[in-house]
Amino acid sequence: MEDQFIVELFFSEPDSALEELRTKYENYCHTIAFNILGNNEDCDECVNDMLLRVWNSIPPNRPENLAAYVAKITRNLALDMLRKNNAERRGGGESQIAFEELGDILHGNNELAQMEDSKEIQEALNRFLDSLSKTERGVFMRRYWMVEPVAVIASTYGMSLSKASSMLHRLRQRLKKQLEKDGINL
Amino acid sequence: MKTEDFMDLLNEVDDKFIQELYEETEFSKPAKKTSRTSIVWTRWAGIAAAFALIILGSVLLMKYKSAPTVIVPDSTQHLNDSMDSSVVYTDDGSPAVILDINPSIEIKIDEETEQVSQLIPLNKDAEELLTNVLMTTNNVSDCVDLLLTELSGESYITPTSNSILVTVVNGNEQQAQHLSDLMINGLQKSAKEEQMSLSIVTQYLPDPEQYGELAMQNEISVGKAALISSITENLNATDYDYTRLADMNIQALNQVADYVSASINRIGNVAGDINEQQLDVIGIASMEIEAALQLAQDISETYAQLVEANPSANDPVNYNRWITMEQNANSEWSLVIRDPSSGQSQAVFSFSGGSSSADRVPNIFEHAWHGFFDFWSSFLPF
Repeated sequence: MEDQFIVELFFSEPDSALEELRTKYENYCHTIAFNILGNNEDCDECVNDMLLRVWNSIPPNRPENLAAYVAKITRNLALDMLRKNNAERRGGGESQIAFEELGDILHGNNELAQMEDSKEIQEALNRFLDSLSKTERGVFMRRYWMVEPVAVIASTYGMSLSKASSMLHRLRQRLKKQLEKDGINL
Repeated sequence: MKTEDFMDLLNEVDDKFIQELYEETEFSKPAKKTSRTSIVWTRWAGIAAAFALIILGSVLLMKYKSAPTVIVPDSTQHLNDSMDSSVVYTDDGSPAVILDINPSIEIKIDEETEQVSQLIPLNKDAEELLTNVLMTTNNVSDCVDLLLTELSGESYITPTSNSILVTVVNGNEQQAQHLSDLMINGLQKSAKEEQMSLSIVTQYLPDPEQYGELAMQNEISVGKAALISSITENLNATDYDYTRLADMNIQALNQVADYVSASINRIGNVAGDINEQQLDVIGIASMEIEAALQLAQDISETYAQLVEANPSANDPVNYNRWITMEQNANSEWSLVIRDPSSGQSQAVFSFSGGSSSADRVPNIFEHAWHGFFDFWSSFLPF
């Protein structure tokens, strides 16, 4: 079913809408959560929480892009759960590796972390993503948004593991340069 | 900033990027529900994955161990920090390949194993580029693939600037041909995978020292010095501005060679080329060779400015460049570089003159000699 109809259905028949949403996006959201958390039990909880949040938020919200809407909610929930898990024990293997990679470009600048308005950084991130080729953007987003293992990304784009790693390294350096050029010191 | 905070910020990127990710990914498998059976299988899968990781790690370790050495600049002969586009090559007499784009990289290949043994940056751009490459293989084709990915990622190679100069130095002709073939095959294979169209210019220098002094004087690579000599000697040009040619990058030199029909070994069309019919209309072949060289350089420089002023020019799908000679109602001729996606003229070399190319030549010649480009650039949209 088209996303637009699913959203409209939430306003008239929310039970049916939720079922349609689950059918269409459960696997997608499960994949996002699994990449971050690394285990099925937590993922199922995340996906169920996502469905609950969507149920509670539509209406009144009327998201224009349902795929992005559910993906962002799921990713947020998974990152929150990862923090909770980390407070108790280390977990989410792939996300830890991805976090460490990003450590290359971050300076631990607390001032920025406290900034209330992070819009400037988000705009800079959007400009950065816009400046990439489709393949580069796909590789970057899969690694740091979807938290996919590098081997999976390499396989998806038919490139060697070393080439994918090299491309990610370069993209991180390019992002760092661009943010610094925009006066943003992470 | 903590990485967790950064990951949160990344969550708020524009929806279109997430949509793009969703559309190019298949999620056809049903989501797995956890059951006792699946937990048992998961445990076995975990053990198998651990073994697989150990094997993969060992393979990678072996690969890294056999990766070519990236030589630091201090150990490279002649490398001069003050040079932006420095020369030279490690003149130990052994066969090597030099890639010139702007970054100049010397690739040493072991004669027996035909594997890459060393990668040597010959200028600062190359040094920076090689710092970013995680070289994990010494297979020629794979090394070239990694380099090309990096060159493309750093926008040294783009759809509008697609030239690479491959110079084989030292060795005998047979060796040189073999090395050249290895390199060209690697570049073409990688370009095909990346859906790029390269214009590869090749040359063989049995005695690179011949160009050493010229290269040092002009702070260019021996490969580039040899290419300039090849173009000018091929045209029998005697009165020309060498410094201006030396200041041009490989893309521009490749274009100039194309515009004046200098005979060089080129595989693949150079971006911004002009077809023969248009060259006939421009009348470049009937000019004095020095004037033709001047005009070719003017066109190439305009092309470079046009590309710089139009970031969309890097998109091969939406942007194609046309260079045409057009005549207006007053019989005035213009050399027009047009963006067909918008239909707008992006740059115009406009001059009045007669209807035949012979009549137009003096006008071009005169303009080219008297700040022609500077004058007309004031009318350009950049």
